[in-house]
Order: sequence, then structure tokens, then C-alpha cells
Amino acid sequence: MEQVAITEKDVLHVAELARLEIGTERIEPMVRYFQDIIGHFKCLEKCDTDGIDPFTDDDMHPCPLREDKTARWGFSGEALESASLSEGRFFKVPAIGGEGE
Amino acid sequence: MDAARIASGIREAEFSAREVIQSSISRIRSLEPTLNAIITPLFEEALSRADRVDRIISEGGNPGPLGGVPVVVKDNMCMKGIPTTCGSRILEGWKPPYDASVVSSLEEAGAVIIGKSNMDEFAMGSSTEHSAYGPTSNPRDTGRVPGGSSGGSAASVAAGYVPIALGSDTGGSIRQPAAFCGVHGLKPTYGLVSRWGLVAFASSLDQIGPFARSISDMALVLDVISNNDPRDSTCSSSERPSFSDCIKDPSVRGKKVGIVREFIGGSLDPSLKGAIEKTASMLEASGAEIVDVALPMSGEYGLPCYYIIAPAEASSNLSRFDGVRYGMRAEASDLITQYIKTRGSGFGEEVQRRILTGTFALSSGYYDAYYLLALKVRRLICSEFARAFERADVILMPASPTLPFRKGELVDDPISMYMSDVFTLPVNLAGLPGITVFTGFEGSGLPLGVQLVAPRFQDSRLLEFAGVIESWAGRPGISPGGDK
Repeated sequence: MEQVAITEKDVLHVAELARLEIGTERIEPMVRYFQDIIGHFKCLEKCDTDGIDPFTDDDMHPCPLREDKTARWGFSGEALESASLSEGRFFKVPAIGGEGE
Repeated sequence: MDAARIASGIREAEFSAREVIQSSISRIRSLEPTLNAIITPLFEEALSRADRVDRIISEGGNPGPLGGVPVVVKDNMCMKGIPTTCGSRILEGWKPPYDASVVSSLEEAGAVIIGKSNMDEFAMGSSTEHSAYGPTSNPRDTGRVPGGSSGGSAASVAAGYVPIALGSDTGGSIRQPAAFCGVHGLKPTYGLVSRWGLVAFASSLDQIGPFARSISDMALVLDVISNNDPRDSTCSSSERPSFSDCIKDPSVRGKKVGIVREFIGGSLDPSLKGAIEKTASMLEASGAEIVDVALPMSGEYGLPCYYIIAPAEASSNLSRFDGVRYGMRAEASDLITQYIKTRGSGFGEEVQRRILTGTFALSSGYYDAYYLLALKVRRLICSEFARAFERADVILMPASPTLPFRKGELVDDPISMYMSDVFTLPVNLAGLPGITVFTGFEGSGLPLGVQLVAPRFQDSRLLEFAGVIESWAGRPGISPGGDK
């Protein structure tokens, strides 16, 4: 398996993109995991994929279409019941900039 | 007793639906402290539904083909007003506002859902040790894992809680636990069963399917759940055959069975190799022809291809879990901190690993080198299976490289754990139907199973072959206490 250089900075950058906080004690194991798993991915470079269209599949059944009509699902009230915090018809969340924005 | 027998016994008043459900509840109560297969028991709801079935029958009505049959569904399928956790803390207490399509279908057929089963968190795992609600034990040997991620459903059927259960399969999560628990498990063709109401892991790979202890029960459940559903844009609108009719007189005479020699050499457990060889001999004696097929791309590149595509899709699907609309919310003074703290504390380690892997593969500078490349390799794997099916009607291969491993053995070694699915995940990449069929027990009492794969929408062919194997191997009993 090929070794890949992945650093703590790389992992923290990806965590930021994923909006995921990693505990300090999990960072080093995550770096090692990334090095291992990405090393495994490298073997795909040996495949000859010239001329392959990644987005079509001749065998796939056609996507069934429906009529272009609006429909009311009718359960927005029930959906709000599961929220941690709601106000009227809205889910309530902290301000993007924090308190005092 | 299988589901068909239970339904007919209730219809003919040999026993009531309430008696059946009470028996199921009693079995669950006695074994659950050891097995932990159920996250949310639904005993009161089930008894109420059973009484409704009994009332319909007493009034001369028809409760449906599964009238009074107890069923368990994996806890990633929405049930209106019932907690649906996906085995995660982040969804603890969340109650969906609607039923999954398969749940509606089961209930319209008269089935009685008696519990939501344990699973690896968000279906990411192969042992049901990654659940936030504790691991599930294998009923055949409680020191071992039941497989995953649908381990709770597989264990429920193997332990005799219920005759049938539903799981979901993204890379092997029905077929591998079926093999580990010694029951049958089917992943239908992608698009045969609606995913409406299934909490998505990887939308191009996920498929709902049944566990059962008889092939006739499996066909019965597939008839009930494989409906055209316009709410799922990936659900085929093609006419479905009657799967129950297809297996009435199963025969493999004149059919060709493909064997992949590379898959049954090497590091495959010798007992599982023996199971493949005996099954092939039996099928040959029943009139089938054994032919060699080659799947080199699937064997060498299937695993890395899957572990780019599945986490990439998961990183997108799980981005909705941010503390706003569902489940737990971490305290924070601003919105972004709420997102990162909720997700950091709500998701378990394996889910975090996969989200980060997927985010990496999709990120700028790496998208072409990893995700786009994996999509192209996926097309090559699809073509490879298509060529194999020019030579064979079905492919016979292992469901797992090992027998069920001990609890704790692989939980800290994620990449070794991923190897559990090396024979199942290429089938998901190609959208094909695959079934694990129970074939017996090895010397120390651990179950053996084999996997059959067919072309797309040839699920009935799979069931026919499985029926022939079952007539030779016999049906699995329940553990503990049943015939092994």
C-alpha cells in the first residue's frame, strides 16, 4: 500500500469544510486513518479509464417523471414539533455572528 | 413457524394475532438483555394492531397477506410519531412526521411492527458495534458480532423474535449479517424497492430488503414492499412479477452458474470455501452447468472505489444533521459553532471518519483524482459484471471472507473491518440484486452462507436458485433453543 503524506493541518481543514469538531485526542488517530485509507485509494490510478463517461449508465432504467404540479405535504407542523427550538412557523437558531449581531 | 404459516393460522383461527404477538414479546423480553437487537420496542402499538387484525378476521374481512405477522424494521426507516435514531445520539428522540413507503406497505399488508432494530450508526459499519445504543450480539454465539449494519434485524430473525425483518444494504449490510447470523438476506435490484422514508447513507447504493428463515417468506415480503413509488425518483416504474409465484416450483436445470475462482482461493475461510464448493456441486447435480467467470476489477478495485463514493455521498446526505431541525442540538452562541459542536458530539467516530473521507474526496484539488476517478472505475465494474452475465445466469460467490468475528476484534481497526464487505460491495456499485442463502453450520456451530448475484431486475431468478439451495440445505432454525 502506498504511503501518502497527510498532516494534521490537512485533517483540520477537511473538518472545517465538513463543519465537524474533532476532539484533540482524536486528531492523531484521524491523521493515521487518512494516511492509510488514501494510500488504499491510490491503486485506482492503475485503471485505464480513458473514454469512460462517469455519469451515464446504458443499463439504468429511466428516471420516472411525475406531473409538474405543486403538492402540499401537510406535515410542517409535525416537523416543527421535533425541533429543539421553534417560534411560530420557524426553526429558531443562534445568529450567524453570535449574540448582539 | 414462518410468516406464511403464521398468517394462514391466524386467518383460519387456529390462534389469534394477539397470541402470536404476545409470544413474540415474551421471546424478546427473555433474550434482549443478552442480544440488544432492538432499540425501540413497540409492544403496546403491536398488541393494538394485533387486536385490529383479529377484529377484521372476526368480521369476515381479509387482514392482508401478512395479517398478524410480527416484523422488525431497521431503525433508519421512518415511522410516524415513533423515535427513529439511525443508531445515533444525534437523532435521539427524533420522531418522523411520516411513514417510510415500506412501513406503509407492511402495515397495509397486515404486518405488525414490533420494534425498531439496532444498527451501526447511520448504516456505517459491518458489526453493529458502532451503535450509540450498545452492540448487538450474535444469537448463534453471543461472544461474536451479528454483522452489520443491519445486525439487529438479522439477529431478530435468527433469535426467533420475528420470522421476517427489514434491513438496508449499501455495501453488504443485509447480506453480510445474514451470513453471520445464519438466515437468508436479500438486497434487491437498486430501484426495485422505494427508498422514500429511508434515512439516506449513500443514495446511489442504498436499498431496503428482507431477512427471513424461508425463501417463500422472502418472496412474500418482496411482493409486499417492491411497489412503484412516485415519491422516490430512483424507484423503477416497471411492472413487478409475483415473486411468490416465481418460486412455486424452482428449477435450475439448464441454467449456468458462474464461479469466480479468485474469490474462493486465497484468504477465504476454508469452511466458507467448502460451502461454495458443496453448493456448486449440488446445483450441478440439480441440472445446472458450472462455468468460470472473472471479476478482476471488482476484486481489486471494488473496495477503494466504494470507500470513495459511499463516504462522498454520505458527507452530503449527513450535512442536514446540524442541530437545526432534527434531534440533539449543542449549546452555542452562534450558528456555525452550533453546527460544528452538534456534529462533533452527536456523531460517533466511524461516522466522523466517513464524513471526513467523503469531504476530502469531493474537495477542491482532489475531486478529479479521487471522486471522478472512482465514478469511472464504477462504470468499469458495471461492465465487468455485464460481461460475466453473458456467460452465466447467476454468479455464486462468498458473502463474507470470514466467519463471524469476535466482539471487539476489529472495532479499533476500521480498514480491516471494511474488508468484511469485499464480496458484497461490488454488487451495490453495479446496482445488482444479491442474496445470502443459509447453507448449514460448520464444526464449531457457526453459520455458513453463500451469495448469489443476478442481473438487474432478475430478483425472481435469485429467489428460484435460493429455493433450490434451501431444498437441499434445509431452513435455518432459531437460536438459542431451536434446531440448529
